[in-house]
Amino acid sequence: MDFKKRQIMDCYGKYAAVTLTILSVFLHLLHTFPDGEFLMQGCPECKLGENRFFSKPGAPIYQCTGCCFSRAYPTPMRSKKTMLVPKNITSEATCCVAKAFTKITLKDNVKIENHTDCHCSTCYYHKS
Amino acid sequence: MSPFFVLSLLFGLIFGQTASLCAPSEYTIHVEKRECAYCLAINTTICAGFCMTRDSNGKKLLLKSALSQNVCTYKEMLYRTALIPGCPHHTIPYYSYPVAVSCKCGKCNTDYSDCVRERVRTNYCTKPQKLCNL
Repeated sequence: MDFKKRQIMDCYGKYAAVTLTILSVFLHLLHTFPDGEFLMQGCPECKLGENRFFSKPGAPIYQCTGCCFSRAYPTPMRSKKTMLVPKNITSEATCCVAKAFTKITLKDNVKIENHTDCHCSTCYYHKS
Repeated sequence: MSPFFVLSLLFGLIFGQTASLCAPSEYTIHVEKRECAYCLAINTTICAGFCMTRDSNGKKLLLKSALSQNVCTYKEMLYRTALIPGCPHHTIPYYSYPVAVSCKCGKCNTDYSDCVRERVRTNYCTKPQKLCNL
């Protein structure tokens, strides 16, 4: 009887441990995105990050990287009629780009941008 | 360590790190023709969500192909045809539209896509609306 009780307790104990583990992982992930960014979980927001390729000690170079919203849907009939070459699908997209930057000149007169602010705006290199 | 514990931990870590939000989403399109009496509202599936992009610090140093930006677009699609109600006999009452089967973060294909930033809203009805029953 005692052995059976112990088995049942072990079983319940395992389920409790699993449930608590899953709950704590999700709570940790939720707290990682404090500004209600739960919708972007797994896809970081568009923001400044250090570009280690160009950065030097004491002179960091920042780059805009992150996720932005886009969608593709059937072109509305009204819009299709106004197109020179009608397309069945409309793709509305934004990309993570620099909102502000400063120009930096590296060795060998190589000019690059050091991004200072980012936002989701017009994509320029997304067409094939 | 219990295998249940390890599996649940792995599940949480994997799900948290790789959840991509570019996925099929519900959407309603409104179709009307000048000759037809009604506007048809069709519930379909499109691609919508977030994709990872970056802005290069040295745009002039790289080839255009290296400056690639990915957007949420159709990966696999099929075409369905709907019947617009209230059309006269001399008008073709059928309307074909793409339905998203799967989506991806990739290039916008200009062969069949109009690649824009934002479109003026034209997806609405001006005539009495009927729901498409598939």
